[in-house]
Amino acid sequence: MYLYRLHKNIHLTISLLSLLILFAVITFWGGSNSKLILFTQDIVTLILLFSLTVQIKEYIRKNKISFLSLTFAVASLLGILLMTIWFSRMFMDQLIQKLNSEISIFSFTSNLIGTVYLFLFVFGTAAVFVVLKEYYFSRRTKFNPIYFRLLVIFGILSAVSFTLFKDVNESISVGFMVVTILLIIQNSLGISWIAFLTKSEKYKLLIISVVITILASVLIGYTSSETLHAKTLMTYSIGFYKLSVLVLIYAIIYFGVLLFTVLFHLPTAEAFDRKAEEVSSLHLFSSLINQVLDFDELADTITDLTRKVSGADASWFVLKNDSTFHTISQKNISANDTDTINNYLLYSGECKSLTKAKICSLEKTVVKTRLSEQFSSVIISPLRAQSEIKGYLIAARKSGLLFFEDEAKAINAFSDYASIALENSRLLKESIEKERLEKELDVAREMQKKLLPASDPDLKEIQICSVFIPAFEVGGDFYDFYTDKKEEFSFVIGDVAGKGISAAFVMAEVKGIFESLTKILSSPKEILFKANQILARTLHRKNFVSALYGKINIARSEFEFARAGHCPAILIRDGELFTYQPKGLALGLDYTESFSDNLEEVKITLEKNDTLIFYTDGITESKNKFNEDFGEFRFIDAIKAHSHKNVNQIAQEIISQISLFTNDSTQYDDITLLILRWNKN
Amino acid sequence: MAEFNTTLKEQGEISIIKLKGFLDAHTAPVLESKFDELIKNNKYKIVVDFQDLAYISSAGLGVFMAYIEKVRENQGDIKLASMSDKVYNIFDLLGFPLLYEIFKTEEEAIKKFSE
Repeated sequence: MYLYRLHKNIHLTISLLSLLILFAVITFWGGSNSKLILFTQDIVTLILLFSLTVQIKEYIRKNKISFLSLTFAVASLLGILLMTIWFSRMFMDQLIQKLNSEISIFSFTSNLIGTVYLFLFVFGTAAVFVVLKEYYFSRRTKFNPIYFRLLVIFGILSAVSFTLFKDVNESISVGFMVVTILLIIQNSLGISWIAFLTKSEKYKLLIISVVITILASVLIGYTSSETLHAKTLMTYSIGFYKLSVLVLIYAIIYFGVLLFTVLFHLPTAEAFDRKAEEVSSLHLFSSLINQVLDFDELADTITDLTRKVSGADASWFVLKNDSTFHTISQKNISANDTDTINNYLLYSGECKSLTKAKICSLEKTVVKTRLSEQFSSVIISPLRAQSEIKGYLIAARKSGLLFFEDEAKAINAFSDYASIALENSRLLKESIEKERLEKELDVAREMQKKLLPASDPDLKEIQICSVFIPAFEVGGDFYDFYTDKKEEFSFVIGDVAGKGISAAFVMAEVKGIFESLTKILSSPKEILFKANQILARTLHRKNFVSALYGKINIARSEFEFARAGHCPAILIRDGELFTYQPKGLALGLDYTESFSDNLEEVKITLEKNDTLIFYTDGITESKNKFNEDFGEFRFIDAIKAHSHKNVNQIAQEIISQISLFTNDSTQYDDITLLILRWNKN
Repeated sequence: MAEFNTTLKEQGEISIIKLKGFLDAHTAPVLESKFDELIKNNKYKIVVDFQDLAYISSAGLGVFMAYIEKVRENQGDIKLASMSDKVYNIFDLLGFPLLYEIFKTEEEAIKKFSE
């Protein structure tokens, strides 16, 4: 099982093996001056270093550790290494001698401690190196690995050459080291990744860099060849010792440069932060344009983003309604303050015919004294749709600072997005509302259709023709026939004030009332009077109903009717036309006795071929495109011209006259026409 | 449909609403809000001038019905003036002259209040 894991993680295996080999070499040949053994030590240590490097790198990549945490890790590692040095000084004094002496129990223990010590430093060096490598390769505008590879090659060369050319010429390895250090300097320049840190991150980085530079410098101080630390490391591998020095130098130089770069970046850090925020806000906003279902949420986001994009303390926006402005949403400011500033900006002419965002100072104005908070500067930017100003975005800043031109520009660009989003939201709302109304009207029309008689009664003595043309919005016209009583024909025609679903409901109620009253009572006046009384309980005052109730006694050829505010009745006898408009108030206007007092009943004895016409104001008020009424005169002329024809033809002619007149203009009200012809002698 | 608007004029304690354009189901809310405003301010002596009113529908007439009770309860009245024949006929057909005082001119209506 364990072997399997070792097999799987080849680098871990290599690390462990190298450590064992090192341990063995020191145990048997410790203190030897043989070049071969020293070289073997170097190579094994380098292999250990390499395998650790790979493992650390994998760990970093896998866990996606941020640069700031990496920097922090470097600082901690260096700290630990320094502590190790201090700590080991207390008891390792004798260690070295024992290490280099012959094999014994003591030297064995010393070797164990020494190996652990070495491992710690190899690990630390590897970690620092990996982090530096990560830094080098991140956010490069050009991928240029050659310098880093050169650095690694020269680093190894200078490490190995110390052992190899120890006796020949030390200057060779010194030369290699110089080249390596030059490459280190070259590679430490051009640190671009810090630009993308936020301001607070930059501050943290600054502090950590200082710490790292100091720690690395102190560590370098302990590496001079006389120290215990240097001696211990050199016992195991001279090459690694040199490498650890090089990596420390790299760390000092890199973090030194980093320190200064961050220092220079700090003044612009805030501006950079805001720019980054602007960019991300704009991005957020462009996606918001599609989220316009909830107006309140949209308003809230617009206000919030306005504030962020301009670095303001407070923001709000107003929309125009007729000629007044209303604050729709506000952030970090009281309603009282927005009103005060609105009044100053919008009604004082300060911002008349604004075409782009404008910065206004509130300093030295009377407004500032009236505010509960010390707002000193505002940006106002128009929200436009189809070049018409619909409202304004406003951002305000405290602290006596004015806004800058670039902040105004940001809001300006932003308000374009906001306008589109708001307009979309409005249009959507409108179309939803329209759809709702249309659905409602569908219901109302359906109701009205079902309330009206499906067909005209077929009577021997009376020819009946009814025409009903509904208006789009349901005008509230109704009519009904009653033929249940023997020798009697009754009808009602009426018009409910108002339109749509509410008119349809009143219609349904009125139909029910008349239907029951017609069974109990027989006098038209009584029926209308009673209907008015019943409606008093339910009808809203503004929904009055005009109605005309008529009854024909077939046996006695007698027509009786009463009119409650409805259009007059028309009688045509021998080509002559008579209009009857007896007194009568519409239903629902007056519930006192005066309704009955003012209701007249008319009685006409019918003669053969008498034609009776009843209608609603939809006919006389039909309009043409000049908004002229069809009117009573045209109506009467149309009747007169065709009165000799049968009832269906008369109706047809009247309707065609009306449509000729209106010529496709919108029909605003229902049209109802009832024509009766008396067929009995 | 065509436009509708109102103008309000104060003469002493009498408020005069002048109607202009087309008063129907769609424009009725404009007039309703005017009445609401007057009643909120305890102004119950109201003259409505119809001089420039081109058309009134039954829904338009409903507006007057909706407020008359409240106004009369407060010792006020809505008096109508300067109607064209066409508009008067619509009022007459429904029997409104029984419920409202209708005058030839605005001045007569105002004078009636001061009696």
